Formats: sequence, C-alpha cells, structure tokens
Amino acid sequence: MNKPYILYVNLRRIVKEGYESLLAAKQLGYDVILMTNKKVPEFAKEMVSHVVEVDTYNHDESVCAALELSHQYQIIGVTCWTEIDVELVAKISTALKLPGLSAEAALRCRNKYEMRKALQSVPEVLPLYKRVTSLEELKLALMDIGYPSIIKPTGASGSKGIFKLECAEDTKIAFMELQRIAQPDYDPVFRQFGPEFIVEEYVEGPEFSVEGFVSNGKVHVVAVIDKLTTDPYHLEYRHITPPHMDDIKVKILTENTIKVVDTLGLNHCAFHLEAKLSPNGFKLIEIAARPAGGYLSSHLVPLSTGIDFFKQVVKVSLGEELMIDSQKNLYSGIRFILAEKEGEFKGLKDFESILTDANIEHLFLEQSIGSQIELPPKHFGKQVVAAVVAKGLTYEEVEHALERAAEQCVLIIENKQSVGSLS
Amino acid sequence: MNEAGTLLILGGASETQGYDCIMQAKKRGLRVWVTDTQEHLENMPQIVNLADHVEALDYTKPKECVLWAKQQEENFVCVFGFREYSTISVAEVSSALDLPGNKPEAVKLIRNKYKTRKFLKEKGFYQPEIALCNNWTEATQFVQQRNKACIVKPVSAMGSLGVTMIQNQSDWEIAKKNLSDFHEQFIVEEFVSGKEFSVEGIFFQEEPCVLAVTEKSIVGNGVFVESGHMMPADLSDDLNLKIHQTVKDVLKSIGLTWGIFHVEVWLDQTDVIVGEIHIRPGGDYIHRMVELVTDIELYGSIYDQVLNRKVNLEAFLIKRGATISYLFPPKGIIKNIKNVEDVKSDKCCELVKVNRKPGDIIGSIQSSYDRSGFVLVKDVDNLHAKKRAERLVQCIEFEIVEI
Repeated sequence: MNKPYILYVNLRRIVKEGYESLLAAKQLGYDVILMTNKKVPEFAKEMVSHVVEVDTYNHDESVCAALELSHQYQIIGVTCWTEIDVELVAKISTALKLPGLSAEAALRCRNKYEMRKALQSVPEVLPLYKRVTSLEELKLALMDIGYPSIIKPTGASGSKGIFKLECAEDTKIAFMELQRIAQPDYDPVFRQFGPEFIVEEYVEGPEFSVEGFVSNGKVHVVAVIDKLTTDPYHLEYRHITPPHMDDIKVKILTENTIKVVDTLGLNHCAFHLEAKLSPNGFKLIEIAARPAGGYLSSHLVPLSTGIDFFKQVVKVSLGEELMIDSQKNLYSGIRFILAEKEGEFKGLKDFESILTDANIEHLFLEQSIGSQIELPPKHFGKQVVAAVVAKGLTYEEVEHALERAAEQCVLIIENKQSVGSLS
Repeated sequence: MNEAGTLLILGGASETQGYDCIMQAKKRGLRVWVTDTQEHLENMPQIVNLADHVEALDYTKPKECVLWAKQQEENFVCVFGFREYSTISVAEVSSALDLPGNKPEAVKLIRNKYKTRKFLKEKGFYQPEIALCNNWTEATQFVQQRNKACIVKPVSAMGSLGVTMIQNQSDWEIAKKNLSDFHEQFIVEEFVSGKEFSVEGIFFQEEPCVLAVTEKSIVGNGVFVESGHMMPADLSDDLNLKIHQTVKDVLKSIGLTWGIFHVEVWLDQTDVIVGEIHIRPGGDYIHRMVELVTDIELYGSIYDQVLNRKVNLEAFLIKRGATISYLFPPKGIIKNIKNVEDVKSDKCCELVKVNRKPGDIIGSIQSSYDRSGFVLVKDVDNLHAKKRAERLVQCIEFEIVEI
C-alpha cells in the first residue's frame, strides 16, 4: 500500500505517444495503473503495474472502479491523454481527493458551447458564435453571423467534422454531413453531446496552438506552434515551433491564453489552446485540458525546448510546482503525409533519402499496411498515412526539410487506379 | 496637484508631432509642459495654447536642460522628446530626475554615426568600412584604397544634409560644397548597395518591439533624398522577421530600453545591415503612418507604461497600409498649384501638405528640405496605398515657368 501509483485513464492511440506517456512516469519513478476500455497495446503490457478494464465512457462505473483501486493501491495522481477522458479524470480526481481539474472546468473544455458561454466575460477573445441543433437554427444563426463561417460539433476533437460555409448552398450539405458524423457509432467521441453544433464567424489569419500547464493556479506557457490545415476540411498537416512570428505576437498569444485559462478556471492540467491571430487580434478556436496530440507534446516540444512535456503532465497531476526552464533553442516541426485517394494502403516507397536526411528525426506510419484509406468527409481520421518530424537551427531549415520529405515520400495506395502520390 | 503627474516635452513646439504628443498625454490625464527655443515657441502658438506651461529652453543643450529641470517644483513623471537634437537632453534630464528613460551614454553613442558603426562592428554586426576624417586627404586615401563607391557625410546631421556619394573625381567638389556648413570631422564610408528600409517601434517593458518596417524610395541618381515611404514594407515573412530580429539585437546591444525608435537598415540580398539608429519617432510623418497602419497611439503607449496602465498589445498589429509620396515639381518658378483640394477630398487621403506657393523657385534636390510637399494615404494594404498615393501626387499640378 505504501508504493505510490499514478492512474492513467487510457493511452493515446498512437503507439509512440502512448509509449512516451508511460516512459514519463517510469522516468520519474512512478508505477502506472492503467484504466482502459481498450485492449492494452503490447508495448504497454510490461510498462504498467496493473490494468483495470472498464467502460470509460461510463463515468459512474469508472469512478467506482477508481475508488476500489484506491483501497488497494496508494494512488497519488490521475491523468489522461485524450479529449474523451478529460471529464472522467476530473470526476476521479474529485472522488479520490487528488489534485485535478474541477468537473465544471472540465465540461467547459469538453463542450465548445459551454466553453464560449463561460468566456462571455472576455468577449474580445471569441468570434461571433451560436449553438445550433437543427438546420432551421443554423439558417437563423447565419443571418447574424454571415459568411464565411465555420460549423463544428460541440464535443468533437481532432479536427473531426469541421466545415467551412462559404455561401447558403453549403449550409444544407454541411449540416447533413454533420448529422451523419456526429453519432456515437461513427465516433465514440460523440457519445456525450451528440448532434449539437457551434456555428461561428470565420476568422482570417494564421492559426497557432499554445501548449502549457496550469499548476496550482499558475499558468506556464511552454510553446507556441504554428499550424497549416487542409482546405476545406481543416485537417492539420504541418506544424512548426517556434512559429515564424515576432515577439509581440507571441506576447499577444500568451497574454490571451492566460486570460482564457484563468477565465475557464483550469488547474492541475496540461492545456492545448488553438487560436487565430487576425489583424484585429487574438480569437480563440478552442482549448483542451490535456496535452496536444499529433506528436506535438510528445516530440515537437521536447525537440525544440528540451522540456519533457509528458513528465510535466505527470508532475502537474500530482499537484507539484512546476519549474519549467527551456534549455534548447531549436526549431522542430511535423509534416503529415496525406493520401489523395482512397484504397488499400500498401506501403511507402522512395523514403530512404528521408531517413538519411540530417534534419529528419522520425518517419512514422500512421496507417498499418493493408488498411483502407478513406478521405474526408467520409472519414476524418484515415487520410493521414505517415508523418515526418524534423529539427533544425532555423524555421526555414525545418520547413524545407519537411517539405522535401513530403515530396520524396510516395504512398502506395491500391485502388482500381494506379499508384498515388501525395502532397 | 494633478494625480497622473506632468509630462515634460523638450523641443515640443513642432507642427508635425507636437499636437499628437501633447493630446495623447492629456487624454491620459497628464499635465503637459512644453519647452522649446523662443523662435519655435513663437512660430507655434497652437502648441503653446495646448500646453499647461511653456518655457523657452534650448533642447540641444543637455546641461542647461538638466539645470532648469532640477529647479522646477513640478511633479514630472516623464520626459519626452521627438526631435533628433533633443534626445541627449531627454536622456540626461530623465536620469537627473530619476525618471524612466535611456542611459545617456547609450543615446550619446547613437548620436555619433562613427562611434555607432565602430561599436556595432565590435559587437559582430556587419557594418560597412568607415573612417573618421579630419581633412580631405584622409578621405581621398580611404576611397582610393577601396576602389568602390563611398559616401561622405557629417558625423551627426540628419535629413540627408551634407551627404554626397563619391563615384568619380568630380564628386569631391560637390562633397566639399555639401559639407561646407559643418565645422567638424566628417565620415567616409563604403556605399551599401542594398534597398533601404526603416524600422519603427517602441520599447515595451524595456524590450524593443517592432511595429512596422517602412520601405523607402529615394530620388536616385546620386541623390539620397527620400521620395516616398510605404508601410508595411513589401517583404517576405522571412526577411521581415530577419529585419525585426537584427534591429532588436542591435538595440539591446547598445543598451537602449525606453521610448520610441526609428532605425535605418539596408537589405543587401538577404543580409540586413543596420544604418542610423534614432531614439525618437521617424520623421517625415512616419510616426503618423505607424498610427495609421496599426491602432496604436504611439506616444500614448509610452505614457501608459510610465503610468503603469495596461497597454493593449493587439493595437500593435498591422491592420492596413499607408504610403507617403513627396512632391517634386520640375525646376523653375511656380506660377500656379492646382487640384490640391480635390486630392484632400479623396476618401483615403489623410494629409496633404504643399509647402510651396506661386512665385517660389524650384531648384535641384539636395536634401529633404527641398521637397515641395507630400500626400499621405491609408488604404486596405500597403500596395493599394502606394498606388493611390502615386495617383494623387500626379493629380497635383504645378504650373512652372522655366528660368
């Protein structure tokens, strides 16, 4: 009973991210109990001390399981790595009297409408928005908001179901697609809030994410990362940190991030905030009370700053004061390799030069060989086939390395057509 | 006593900057004392009327300014100046009164072009070769050793005064003539063949913060007088950021920490070469252009920091474009000037100044004082502003009688 344990609620789907999250606890000298609703991946079997299989979508059942565990093990912290588990972890931390996010703050981060409502006291950070659940409501809302605008589910993550509305003709098509997508059987992420949507004005300007922590009420901004997304489905395909921007813009992003985090009442958590910087200033896209995925927190931030982000996630879940000191001064970036057509993924070719490129740190496969590639809006998670991570002394060095790799790497996707290239 | 305190402006009786400098202080509840030479004060009654107190004082004489300031029983909270020749006095008075400001040594350094270049070179910044000359023999030797175009200029003048490009033997006579009013050593330096820009910014929490880069056009053919400015400059993100970073590094290495800066740079291919450094707003209405392209109150952002008030950083972002284009009528006697009012009524025209009148003689262009006026335009972006300014300049018609 004296040995301290940390309770992890699920792991990230991506193996490398999951592995890094477990490594972080191990390196800090803690053993991990894994509460999961999935099959435990091979790499994790030797790294976790105990596994509890439970339907983590069922919060009551999961909290009960956590309470039972706490009678057997000395659990000193609880944390999660994905959006879907943020609210559950808040409930468990409350039940076990551990440092953690409050249930109210967790809901504000999980539901984009609740998030916007909670930010009414700082309206300058928000684009004009409305909550809609029907086509009629959407049409009415658009009379105020106008075009172009963005519609997205209130409870999704990972760029799922984001549609840009350029004109009235787009409205019906997008809404029908969203009704199809925003169902639990399409993606479990929709189990909680279902077909509820936010429509908001489209904000011009570059998009960034801000990565950091709140520990004992103090906000620590660790990194600002820039972002390129596909048109029209807003899938993220390139990130570089630090971004190509002057100090004042970094200050604006940082100041507003602190404002948003404080207003939402976040504490004892990592955060991943997404925002646009328009000529008129900062506009929030959304904020999540968890580390960023897409290798941003696991790989890009450590490569660029020297800060082991996942170790800080563990520390913050324990209520520890963070002493964050950036030691590296490098640029790092990731380029996702997107399929341009559907079909069976057969592998990569011509990737040898990528592996010998001095700037390239990793080449990851995001789809297993033999899997079916699907494109949005049919599926939002099956277009990204591979990912390349690079580091360098300058932004340009990283940018060029990533684009060079994206050009060199050829995806073999077999359909009725021949070999497809990528962009 | 006024709660916010009093702003002391050294050399404040100026048409171009005095009004905004005072009004932005008053808006923040500051009392404003304006000092300037008797002549300037007499020429600017509108500024005198705006000030809470006015005093005749030579802003070019730091010791006199310090002595006078120390004798005043006024709650000064800030000392400010926007004239080049007031910057040392501003730093000295701020230091003597223990108010926010730059170290006088840092300001003295940038007031001396030769010492500045030497300092920057020692700090590892690329600088053109330069020599401080006591006589023409030293100057010609410097040029002969290099076999490339060089520039002759005074040590501490401004506005292109006394600047000559030496490309061949006959240019020396022009240089001697141009420098005849300057009774001091002079500088000879290698000509930098890059495009010229200036960098406008303020110090925010003692860190340099670039607001905009200005793209300069010059008259050309050996005349370095500026013919127009476009803001923001038409640069790639890479080059823009490179300029920002170089200027910030330079300012930090010099030890400047307070106020408004205006730094001249050249861009030679992708190399950024820093030229003159000024701890004041850019002249030529560049200060106004900064306010037009952003939403900042340039002077107010400095006062806000002095008063510990929140500075809205989002106002610093560039939101539109602005261009100033100067008027260069042909040589001769002006018979008539037409269409000025039409140009003023253009929706994007912010300001038109014509400082010539019928009967004036237009000669050759030697310095910025030989320009005949300007049109200042703001528009949705820089290129639209430039196009519109060029069109409006063409609209102003000078009827000239050849001499």
